[in-house]
Amino acid sequence: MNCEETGRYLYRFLDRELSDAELAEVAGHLERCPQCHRYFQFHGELRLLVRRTAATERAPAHLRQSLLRLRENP
Amino acid sequence: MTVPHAEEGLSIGRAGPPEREGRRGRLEEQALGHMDALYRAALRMTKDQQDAEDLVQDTYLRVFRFLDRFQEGTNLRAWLFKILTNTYINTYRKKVKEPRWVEIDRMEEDDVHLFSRLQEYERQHHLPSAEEEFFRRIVDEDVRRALEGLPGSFRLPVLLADIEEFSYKEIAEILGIPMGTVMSRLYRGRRLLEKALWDYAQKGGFGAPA
Repeated sequence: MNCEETGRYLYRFLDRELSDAELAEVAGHLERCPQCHRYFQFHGELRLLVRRTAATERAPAHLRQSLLRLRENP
Repeated sequence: MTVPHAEEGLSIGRAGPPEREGRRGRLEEQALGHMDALYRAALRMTKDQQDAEDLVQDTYLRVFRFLDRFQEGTNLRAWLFKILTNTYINTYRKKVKEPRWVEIDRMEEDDVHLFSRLQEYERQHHLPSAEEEFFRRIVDEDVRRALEGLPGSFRLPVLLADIEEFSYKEIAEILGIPMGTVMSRLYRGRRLLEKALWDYAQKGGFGAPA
C-alpha cells in the first residue's frame, strides 16, 4: 500500500470502520512512513478536539426538570 | 387465569402489572439518561438554545409515547437519536435557510486539504510544527461555530459520527439514507469543517509574525 492509497483510508480508519485486513495494511504503512503517520496523527488529534469541545454541554437544569415532569404527566 | 398483559404490550397506564411497570420505569430511566447527548445534538442542529430545548422536549414527548414499541436489548441510543432527527427534520428544519446546492458545489472548488496547507506553511516559514501552531490558534467556540456553519445534510452525519460516535450503519438507520450516502456526506462535511477551522485559525493569528 502506498501513501496515496493509505491516505484514502483516513476517515474510515478514524471511524473504526476498517476490516481487520485493511487495518493491518494501513497500520503497516503507517509504521514505515513517518509522513503518513504524521498525517493520521494530526487528524486523530483534530477529531479528539472536535469531540471534546462539542461533547461538554449539559442539558440546563430547568430542561431536566420539565423532562422529569413530562414523564409523570405524559 | 391471568391474561399476560406484559407480553401483549397493552397500554393500561399506571395501573399496569408490577413487572411491566418496572420494565417501563427502567426504560424511561435509560431514555432520560441520554438527555445531555440529545440536547448537545439539538443545539448543533437548531443553533439556538430555546429551539434546542423545545426540540428535546418534543423528542421526549414522542419517546414516552412510543416507548412501548421499543424492543429492550436493541440499540436505545440509536432509537432516541432517530426520533430526535426525525422531529428536527419535520419540525425545525423548514425554518432554516440552507445554502442552495449551487453554492455547495462552488464550495468544492475551495476544497481545503488542511494538512497539505499546514505542511506548505511549515516549509515556507521553517517552522518545526505547523500542527501545534494550528491547534494553538483555534478555540472551542470556533469548533462549535464551524460545526454549526455546515449545511444541515452534512452537519447531521458529522455530528452523529464525530461527536456521538455512531457507526456508518447506525447513522444510515438514524437518517434513513444508504450507507454510501453517509460516507460521502461525511467526507464532504469533514472537508468543509476543516476549511472552516483553517479560516478560524487564520483569524486567530495563525501565520502572523511572532
